[in-house]
Amino acid sequence: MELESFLRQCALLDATLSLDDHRHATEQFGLSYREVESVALEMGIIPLRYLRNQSTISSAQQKILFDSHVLIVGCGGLGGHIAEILTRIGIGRLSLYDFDTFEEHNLNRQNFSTLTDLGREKALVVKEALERINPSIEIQSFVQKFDPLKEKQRLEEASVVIDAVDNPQTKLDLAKSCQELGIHFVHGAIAGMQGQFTTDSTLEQLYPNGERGAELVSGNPAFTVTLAASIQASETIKLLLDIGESLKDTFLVTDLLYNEFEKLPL
Amino acid sequence: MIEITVKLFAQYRADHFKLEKRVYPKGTAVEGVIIETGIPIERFPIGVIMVNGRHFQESHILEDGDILSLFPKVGGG
Repeated sequence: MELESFLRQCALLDATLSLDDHRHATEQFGLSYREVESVALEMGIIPLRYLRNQSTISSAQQKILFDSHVLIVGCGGLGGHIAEILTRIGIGRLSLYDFDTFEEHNLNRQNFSTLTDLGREKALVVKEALERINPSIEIQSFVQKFDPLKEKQRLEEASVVIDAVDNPQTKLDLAKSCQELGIHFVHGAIAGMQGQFTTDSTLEQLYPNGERGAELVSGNPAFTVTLAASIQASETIKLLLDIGESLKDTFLVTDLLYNEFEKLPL
Repeated sequence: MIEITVKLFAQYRADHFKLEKRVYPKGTAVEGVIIETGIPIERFPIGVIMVNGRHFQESHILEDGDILSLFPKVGGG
């Protein structure tokens, strides 16, 4: 039996592919989860794991996400949560960068930081965890500091670049390089109960210099991190699917202490 | 004299205010308001300065009726 016939038979009832059938297909046809998923999506059959994405995300849009590549710079607070959201939603390729290892003071907020992984490289731990969630995603992880001014080729390979670093100078460089290369860029930053966001903008107006900000004093509580990760992930999905309104030329500030969302032009 | 609506955000609100109309001498720059309000810019450096919803520098001279918004710099990830 051909793979297409197999998938068609599996999807007879509800046009979905269950994990069991997905696994059988990999075994029967000697293919990877990724290869099977690609054919299924091409046929309009969605893996059952994505069923609750619908109808916010259609089957055709699910294929667009599968064919997309997102580069996440930083696997700490923002990056770890963003990476999980994008893996669950079905982005086909992720590149993760982080030079750091998990430390005890990361446990308050950083996704996939656990007692057993303290001391291990964040980029590797996050990749392993994501692969346990969704084996169809191609995940490359790099244990290194990302230099946006030197690694433009890496940026050019991505559909969207996400700023999940905690260093204003790197944020500035990343935004500048993405703008020069014409690549979508999703900025996010947090301090205390506050978050700030913009998309496809350079960041000179937000960072008068490369020095650190209020986060040095106010810290980064988990609820601010996960809100910020959600906003950056949804910006990414909107850009990839060309839907809704992005934060292009817009500065969004969120403040959970006062439940405020302030949107200003940049 | 000029009347400026000053809006403070996030860490600047503690021990200060969210929004107040304040009176300054004509020719006052943004920097003058920052000093007069006493917001803790040593502890929380200035990030974004908006006047009437547009970005400006600290040296910008304010005019009567302006709305000045001050945001601390936020860089955590």
